[in-house]
Amino acid sequence: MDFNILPWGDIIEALKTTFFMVSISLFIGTILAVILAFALVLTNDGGLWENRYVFYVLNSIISLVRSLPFIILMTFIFPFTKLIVGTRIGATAALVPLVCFIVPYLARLFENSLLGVDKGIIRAAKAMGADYFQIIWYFILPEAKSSMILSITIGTISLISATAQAGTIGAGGIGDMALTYGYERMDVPVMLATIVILVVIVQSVQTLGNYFAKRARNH
Amino acid sequence: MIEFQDISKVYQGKAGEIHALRHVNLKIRDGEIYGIIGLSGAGKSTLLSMINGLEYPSEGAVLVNGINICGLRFGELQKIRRNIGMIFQEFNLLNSKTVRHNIALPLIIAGEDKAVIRDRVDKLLQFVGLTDKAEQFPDQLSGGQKQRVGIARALVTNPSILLSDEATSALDPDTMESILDLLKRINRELGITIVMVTHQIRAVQKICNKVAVMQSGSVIEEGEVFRVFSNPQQQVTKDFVRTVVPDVITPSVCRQIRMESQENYEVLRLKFTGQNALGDLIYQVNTKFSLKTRILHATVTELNDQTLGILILQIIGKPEQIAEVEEYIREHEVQCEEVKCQYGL
Repeated sequence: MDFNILPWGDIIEALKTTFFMVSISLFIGTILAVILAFALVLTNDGGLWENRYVFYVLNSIISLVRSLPFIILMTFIFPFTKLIVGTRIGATAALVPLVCFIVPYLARLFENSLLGVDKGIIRAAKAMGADYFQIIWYFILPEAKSSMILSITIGTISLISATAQAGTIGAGGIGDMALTYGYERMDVPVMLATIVILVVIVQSVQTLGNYFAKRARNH
Repeated sequence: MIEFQDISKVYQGKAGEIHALRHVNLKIRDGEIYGIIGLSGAGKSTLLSMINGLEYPSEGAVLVNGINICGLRFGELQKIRRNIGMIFQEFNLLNSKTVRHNIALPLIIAGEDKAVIRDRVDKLLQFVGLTDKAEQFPDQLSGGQKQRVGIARALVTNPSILLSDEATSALDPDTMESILDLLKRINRELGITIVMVTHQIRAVQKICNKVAVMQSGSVIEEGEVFRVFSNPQQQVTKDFVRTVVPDVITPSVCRQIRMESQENYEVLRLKFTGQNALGDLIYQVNTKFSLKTRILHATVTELNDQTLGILILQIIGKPEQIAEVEEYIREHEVQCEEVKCQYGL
């Protein structure tokens, strides 16, 4: 196969766009999801700030958003997107639905990670005289870290696949390229190339995630 | 001094109210190793957790050195908690952190200086004998070593009270003995008051001075270990004590006695305490009275540095002679009671 028939400039450009969309939405999404997950765990039955109303509201919103497929969510929140970034098309506009999509997704995964922390450790922390912030910072986070890194890894891969659908609002990116070149123009070499690139990216993300998770677990 | 004043605890359960504790009154003096023993669900862990405010009573007051734990603001409670170490059955160590970091945690959250922490952790690692494990992770350690880390962590703030919540229950017998030795050393060398909740009577027998026996949320028997062990009153206590200080004759001996069908005999249980334990009472009985004695069971136990001897004696002779012997034994301040020979007596 002659590699020169591939539009390398376009591919590089698409990669940059994908990287932009995934990294920004992952960054914002992770911060919001961590806060949301803590809110869920802390207000849940037996949590440090048990409050069934707050828990019920948060839990319902997360389930609601989680039940929408990304492409529907994206279309549904067009007005909201326009309000925030001033436009409803392009990579920047895609950030809004991507964040809305990834926050509840990661929040659920983080919630599981946090619930996995042994209740006995929290009891020990209280017995030492730790306050709420210290319990979270010195006890829950270090113990949940490894599992949360794996959650972020899964979230990143979901985001990469969501960016392909964001192509429908002109966001661009490597997934969009596979669709437009491969599906619409029947350009098989470009489609194959983008598939290979996607597989390599996803594999690398997973490998990196596993590595850091293992390191956080200790050895 | 730790004082429980008329403590009750009521939970709202699905099937109505659950009384976890009912009118508990206890006093634990400085320097004691105080055991709280009972079957699971007796309320002993709940009671222990009230000392450092992990649980609150529904009624009553818990005083630690004269301060009522129940009425404290969080900042004050925090200060008291730093003066009370706690160890657990499941160790509750951070698996993602080294042994050194785990031990340092109470000081880190107290905002202590790094150099001070290092120094203090080194001292405790040495005290519990884990200096070579400082940089390892908890899951590389055995159960006994993990509990040593837990103990070092509990002692790192220099507390005056140590709470032990079933700390030896998940350990094998040898390891349990070594952890109990360590706890005794902590009490003797550092002068730390230890309150220990357990269902293992062996733990109480080995290191406690005082014991409270709990059943269904109430303290049913309480006092010096030697007194409670040498003369248990309640059935639960008797059952517990019997497992470490056997005071019954075995079924096979029972059967044999019944088969012999002797007419004039009585079986007596004698309890020797204090200096009587090493006396020559049986020799005296045998020379003074013209009747036969047979030893069916004998044990000698060391409790809290005192000796308790239990002897089950079959005395064969005329009823009036036997009565005289009983009288003679009682005159020598040895507890004496008749036991019927049946299974499990």
